[in-house]
Amino acid sequence: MKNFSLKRMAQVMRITFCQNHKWFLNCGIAFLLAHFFGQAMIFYSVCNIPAADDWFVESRMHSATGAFVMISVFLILGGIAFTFDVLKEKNKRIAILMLPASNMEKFVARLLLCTVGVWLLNVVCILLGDGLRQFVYLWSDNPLDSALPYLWEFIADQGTVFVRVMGDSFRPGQDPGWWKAAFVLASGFMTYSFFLLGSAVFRKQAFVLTGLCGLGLTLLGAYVAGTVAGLFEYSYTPEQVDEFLVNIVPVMSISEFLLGIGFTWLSYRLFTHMTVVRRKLF
Amino acid sequence: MLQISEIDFSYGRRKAPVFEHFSLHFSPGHIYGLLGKNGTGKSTLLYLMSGLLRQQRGTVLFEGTDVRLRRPEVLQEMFLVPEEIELPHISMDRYVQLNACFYPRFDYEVLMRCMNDFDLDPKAKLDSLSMGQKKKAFVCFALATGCRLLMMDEPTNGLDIPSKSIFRQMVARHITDDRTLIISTHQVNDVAMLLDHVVMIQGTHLLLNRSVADISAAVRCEDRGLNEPTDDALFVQNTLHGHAVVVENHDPDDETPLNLELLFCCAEAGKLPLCLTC
Repeated sequence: MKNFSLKRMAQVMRITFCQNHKWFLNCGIAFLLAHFFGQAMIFYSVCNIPAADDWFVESRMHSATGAFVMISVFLILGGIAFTFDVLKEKNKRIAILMLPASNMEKFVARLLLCTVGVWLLNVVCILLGDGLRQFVYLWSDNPLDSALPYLWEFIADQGTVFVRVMGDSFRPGQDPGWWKAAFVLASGFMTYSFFLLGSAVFRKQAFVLTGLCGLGLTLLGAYVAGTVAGLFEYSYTPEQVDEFLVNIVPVMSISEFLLGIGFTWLSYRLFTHMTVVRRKLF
Repeated sequence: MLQISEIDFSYGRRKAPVFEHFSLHFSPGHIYGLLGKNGTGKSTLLYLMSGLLRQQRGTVLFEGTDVRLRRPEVLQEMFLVPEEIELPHISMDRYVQLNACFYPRFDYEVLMRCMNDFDLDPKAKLDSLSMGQKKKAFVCFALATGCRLLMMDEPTNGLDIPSKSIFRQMVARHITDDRTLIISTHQVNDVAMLLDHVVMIQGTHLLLNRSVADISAAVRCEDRGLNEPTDDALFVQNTLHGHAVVVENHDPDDETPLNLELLFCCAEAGKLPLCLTC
């Protein structure tokens, strides 16, 4: 028998979705509320100014776009951190691990539901959140346009904007290069797989715990980088440092990409070795 | 069918071992009773047999395949009914629709007959059932899967009195020569009549691993009055009306029904005849 069958994996996805539809429904409601309140708070100031000019409204529209993106990033990372949340209960662990499908099929099925599924859910909730905000403001005699065209502009315009924002923080004023784009993508992939790994390791409260671990590691990394940089403070000219930073981008991109693959592989390995009762190390 | 060879298992480096150099073989066509005191590792053994736990040493093979790999061809031949069951918020019909395709020999008629015997409504939402009803529903599903190895952890826990009898009839009807059923239980009287092989675990090793026929040929379980002698008994337990005793059976053609509770106490006290000890 094949160890990976698309048909079987689709069936695992179907089961996972049908047996956890309440979770997805709750997620949908939470996403919708997050986007709605995010928008409502941003446009609240517009309603308080009697004759808000176009410029002010437009700036709020851009803020709303930022809020859509920030909330989405937050929710999508939350979604991935929930990949193995269902396995925190013993009975559910038994049901999932005993299902006659291969480990790979179960892993990919859960991963797809928590990535593609959550993305789609997020898109639907953005549309509904924006619509709901318009409706509420219209109802309270403050008609305001949809912020979606601005979001669309942001996305369509900027495969580069996101890259530029990130790239600028790297080398202000420079045009984003191919490696910078790769760096941004690799960073995203690494963060994503880090949360996936966190989900496999912690299962309970994975989002918070992984976030804290990520924060801790970032601070540690920054400290180490700062200390190392301090050692060479007077050895190099600013131009040399700048050049070094440019040259290190490809190395960092590749490293992050490899780390991302490593985290994903480790998550899969943890899943295949997942037992119904955890062994205690200490 | 299932071969456990020389396994070591503990729940942690500093925890006492649950199994040490433990070996056991299960053949098709039998109903095994897995007996042992609380915490001796009955459920752990079931989990090890289904690949839900990983032993530190040794192998557990289902028809030559390591169960730890959790391969689909192995999983579709084994089904575990755990002691506590949590079912999703869907009806049995829907549950079957979603899960039956994973079991190539799934028999919908068997399911319906079993559900009918237990008086269960296939349209009822599974998560709203009581614990006993959930267990009944899951047992029905397990029998209908056609899996060749069924493992049940305390299957009669939570079942009402009539249901225990229905359970026995149901199991007797559906366990065929190519299927194996392993029942881990403390409620020995609920399943005593079903079993044709008894496995008792004590500490990290086997205390008894014999067919009911072998046991019945070797020992007899008798009730004796207060004034009747018990000198010939291997093991004596006081009862309200006198003594329950285990004695050696010198006439293999004259067998008594097995009192598994008494036999368990006898085995635990180390009083079994040599021909039965492991």
